[in-house]
Amino acid sequence: MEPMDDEYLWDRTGPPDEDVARLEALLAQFAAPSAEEWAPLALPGTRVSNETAVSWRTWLAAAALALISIGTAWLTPRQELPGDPWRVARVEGMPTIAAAPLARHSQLVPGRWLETDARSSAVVFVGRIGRLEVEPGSRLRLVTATPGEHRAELVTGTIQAQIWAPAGQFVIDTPSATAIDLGCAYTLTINSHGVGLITVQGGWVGFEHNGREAFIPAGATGRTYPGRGPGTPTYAEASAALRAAIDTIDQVDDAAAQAAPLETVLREARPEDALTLWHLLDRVDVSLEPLVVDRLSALAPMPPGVTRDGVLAGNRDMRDAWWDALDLGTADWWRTWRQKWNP
Amino acid sequence: MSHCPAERPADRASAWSPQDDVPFVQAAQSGDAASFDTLYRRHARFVHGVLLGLATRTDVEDLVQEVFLTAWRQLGTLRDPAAFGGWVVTIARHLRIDHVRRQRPLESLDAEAGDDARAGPRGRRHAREQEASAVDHLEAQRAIAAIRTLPEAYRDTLVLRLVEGMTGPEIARSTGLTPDSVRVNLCRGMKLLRQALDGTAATRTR
Repeated sequence: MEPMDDEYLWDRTGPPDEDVARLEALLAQFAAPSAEEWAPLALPGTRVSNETAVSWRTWLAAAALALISIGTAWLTPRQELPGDPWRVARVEGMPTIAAAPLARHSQLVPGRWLETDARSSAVVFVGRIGRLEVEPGSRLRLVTATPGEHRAELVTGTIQAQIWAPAGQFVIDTPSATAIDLGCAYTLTINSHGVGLITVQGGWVGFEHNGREAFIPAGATGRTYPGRGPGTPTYAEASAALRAAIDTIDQVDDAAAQAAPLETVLREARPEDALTLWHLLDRVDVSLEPLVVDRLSALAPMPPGVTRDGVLAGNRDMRDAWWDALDLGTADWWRTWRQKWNP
Repeated sequence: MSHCPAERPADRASAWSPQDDVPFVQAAQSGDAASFDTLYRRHARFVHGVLLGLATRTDVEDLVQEVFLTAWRQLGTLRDPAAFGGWVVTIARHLRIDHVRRQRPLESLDAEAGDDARAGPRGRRHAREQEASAVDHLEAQRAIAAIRTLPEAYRDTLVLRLVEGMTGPEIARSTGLTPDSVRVNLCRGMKLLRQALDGTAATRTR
């Protein structure tokens, strides 16, 4: 045999060593099954039990029956929907699916995690409706992949999404909010603390968490905070002072803490920052709402049928009508579709 | 001409770090079977490689399950969740020793071939084997037999690298050995394997 190249033996970098490569090819037949192929473990109900072979079989049979029952019930109303699988292609490094190294091309099935380390990335084709670039350091779990409904969970990392489906067919859950695509292109980053940052390049995105909403159009960014939900969107061209003040407002609740940054926001706001002011209606303390309403009204007059008192009273129809008057997209989309995303 | 380094930096990032196991271990310690299933699928390949050094492949897949069932039962005793990978390997090594004690010393190639033929759930691999030429199959049997004759440190490392397809950094992360140690084991193990295979003319024909 010829001398080896130990770089290839070490991590497959460097020119392939002929002997090592030959042995790899020969011995691959002895390799472990892929992560998906391993038979499920028949775990006992508790870790401390002294289970017997009979109890194992009993437990296994019961579990199998339960799974079949659940699976049948779950699948029955969906049987008319063929799957719309997510295909994954490795771009660099060694991403994994369910902890197993990703072949150059693979499929991501619901329930499985796609993960990239600091040096790997992947491209995901979302059924027939879009494309995600999964950047290094990301963890993404596919939840649903059927025509008309694609849903995944991004726990950490960054995805760049380009979705060309009708609004509402692509949803990303994060630790702090749910992002609903409304026909757009965006970049979503979740940091290690679960704080999210979305930047929308085209179309717009809805963020929602426990009834707190944010609508983020192209050119704007929005944050989400664990336990609080979506923050207030701002345009990238808005002044740095305004954006910094918004970050403060989004993370405090009492009027005293919000008053000073709100003064900055009201002073710095341009007509296009009506986007930001409209969102503040639901975010500032009730005692500060009149200040926001008056400034917003100066920048974007209320449409017919919308009154100051009605807005201050929290009339949802009036607030939505005012949103529609900003000409950033209709709130009707959101109100209709969100029932499906967040039943 | 390559050499076996006494010490050399390992500069390639591993796909996983032991910290990645922590939330799953903690959830599993609270009884979450789904989290344990994630750990099982994440580490099964590594445990498989450790066991393959001494057991037939049919036995190995059963032993892997036995290792993780043992781990599930004893999970409450694991104090450092980030040590899960090394911990299951320790269990695997103990089970491997027990297995060898109660089984034939080491199966013959014929016996392993017989095992392969009746390996039910390994259908996909079995199909792949059938596609391989008879010569390749024989060479593979001889190569794995030669690896099994090596000292344990070299044997395990080479199985993980050549059979399971793990890289040196991945092996280091999974075993808890330093990258330098793994690198030395790979290099020296490969040197011994070359000698063993040259002696049996088991490698490729030139």
